[in-house]
Amino acid sequence: MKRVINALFALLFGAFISPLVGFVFPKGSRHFTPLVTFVSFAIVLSYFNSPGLITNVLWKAPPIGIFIEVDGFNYLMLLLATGLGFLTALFASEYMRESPRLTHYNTLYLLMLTGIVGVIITGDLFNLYVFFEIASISSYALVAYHASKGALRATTRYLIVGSLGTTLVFLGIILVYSVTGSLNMADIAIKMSSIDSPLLYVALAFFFIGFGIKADLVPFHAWKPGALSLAPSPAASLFAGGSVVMSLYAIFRIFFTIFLYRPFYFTYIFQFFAVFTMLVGAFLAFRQDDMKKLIAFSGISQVGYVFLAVSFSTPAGLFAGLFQMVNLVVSEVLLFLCAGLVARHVGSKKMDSMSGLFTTLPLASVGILVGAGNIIGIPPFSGFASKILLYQAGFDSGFLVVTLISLVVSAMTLGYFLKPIFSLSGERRQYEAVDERKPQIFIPLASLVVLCLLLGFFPQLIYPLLNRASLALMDPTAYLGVLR
Amino acid sequence: MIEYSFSAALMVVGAYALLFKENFIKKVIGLSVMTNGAHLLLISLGYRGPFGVPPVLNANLFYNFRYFLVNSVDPLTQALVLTSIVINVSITAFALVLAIHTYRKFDSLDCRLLGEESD
Repeated sequence: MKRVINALFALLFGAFISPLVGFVFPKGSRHFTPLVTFVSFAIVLSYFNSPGLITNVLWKAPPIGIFIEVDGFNYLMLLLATGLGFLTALFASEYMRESPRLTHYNTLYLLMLTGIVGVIITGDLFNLYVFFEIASISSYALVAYHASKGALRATTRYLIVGSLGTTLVFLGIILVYSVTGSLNMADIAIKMSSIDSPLLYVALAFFFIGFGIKADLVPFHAWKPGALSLAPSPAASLFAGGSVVMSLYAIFRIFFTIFLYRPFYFTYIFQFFAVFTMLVGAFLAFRQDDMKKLIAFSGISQVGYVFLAVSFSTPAGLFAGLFQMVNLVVSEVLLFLCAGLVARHVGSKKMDSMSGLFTTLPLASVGILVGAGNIIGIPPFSGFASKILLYQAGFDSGFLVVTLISLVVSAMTLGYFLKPIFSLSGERRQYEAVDERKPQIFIPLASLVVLCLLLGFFPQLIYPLLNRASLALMDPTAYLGVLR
Repeated sequence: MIEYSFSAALMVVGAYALLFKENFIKKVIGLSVMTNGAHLLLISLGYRGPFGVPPVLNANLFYNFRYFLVNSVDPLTQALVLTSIVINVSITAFALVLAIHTYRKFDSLDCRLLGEESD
């Protein structure tokens, strides 16, 4: 039976039998995770040509039962999360090969991806919370994977902030349930049009903070760079890719679909946080010496752009915001994978000790160059197209000041990325050899680089997908229509 | 109103302990207190006054079906709280394992030691 929820079941089932596979086939178990994630990706991909709403009913009809609902907006997110999850898992199957607790890693990785995919496809607010917790708990354990002093520090900080965030999300769900008496997202949205209660705005604030912690908006970002720097590189890629996609999805779904009649000042709240996120992320990135931390801060800064573009709440703004998000996660994943290779090659994450990487590690160097160019937004890469669309949307809707600030931050982005880019050139030094030609390493890096360049030269390739997503976000009639 | 204020108090106390206490174990206790405050709020939403009946349909209530519908306690909140308790037990378990590892590495449970960035 062909159902989109099988993408979730594949991951969940894979996570549960992963320890068994690791126990029975200790040698071959590293190929298991890419296989499972590929199956999930293939299931999602098989819906590529079916526009409109994809729904699965697991038990009972919509307002009551367990319900899966995927429209154009979810679909884009789902494609990103599973696709990047597959590429990262493929990379990890070679990169983490020598790791002593590979089975633990694989199980946690699959569980985290299960949580991310679950949050994205579910149509039920409480299921969303449960999957959000699955993703959170496995991500805490992934940060603590190396169990070094630094990793324990980062995990403690992440655990405290993260559990506060998930509790706030839970509280928000309680408040929404107490006012509307429903947990189905479409049902809540319909009921909300006839209810106006101050509790709903409190719930909205809780959702914003709770998911904002995972999406690393600035006042809540302190856990992120340390956690991403000390987690294993492929896991950090999943944080920067899937986890960000998940929390952005949850925030936008809640603000645009569930709270149809959102407060008029929501634009200003989004812009306030967006400007702070862009500026603080960029300023802090300047003083980093650790390559992974610099990449993490650049990701924080770019999340601000997504929020800025969405805050215009015009179709052009949403389009630019979603395009910016695609660029952000693709290039962050690419950068983290390359930074992992570089760190293993050099034996350190400090950029001062890197030099002449172009000759010794060509593919990863190209990857860093392309990823950085994509985030800065210079012409041959797709980041240019999305930034131009963003500025245009900003000027068209009359938000001149914030758009100018985002232009300035773009220049700053170029400034702080000069440091890792310069570390690629220079004299050649003797480093530990890392073989880039293994297919498990070559395929993910090469396909991400090709994706960045392809979307840079032909951005119209992704326009249909983005159009579908931004229209679904702008006009949720189809999403709410399942109840009628 | 009393259930709102009581659970809000529990959550504030828990969040205070989670954020500002220095001992790791006290932080974990604070986390538990905070989430239990949220559970209390949720379970109190299902309360149907002093004449509430359990959400189980027996022969006696079957003939008073309307009474049953109005006065039976909301079973959904109880199911949600049960799920949430399971989730929070696993978070607490993870936090305690983390505390064990932290104690082994740092010989202390003082979270001020964890704040320093340099290795």
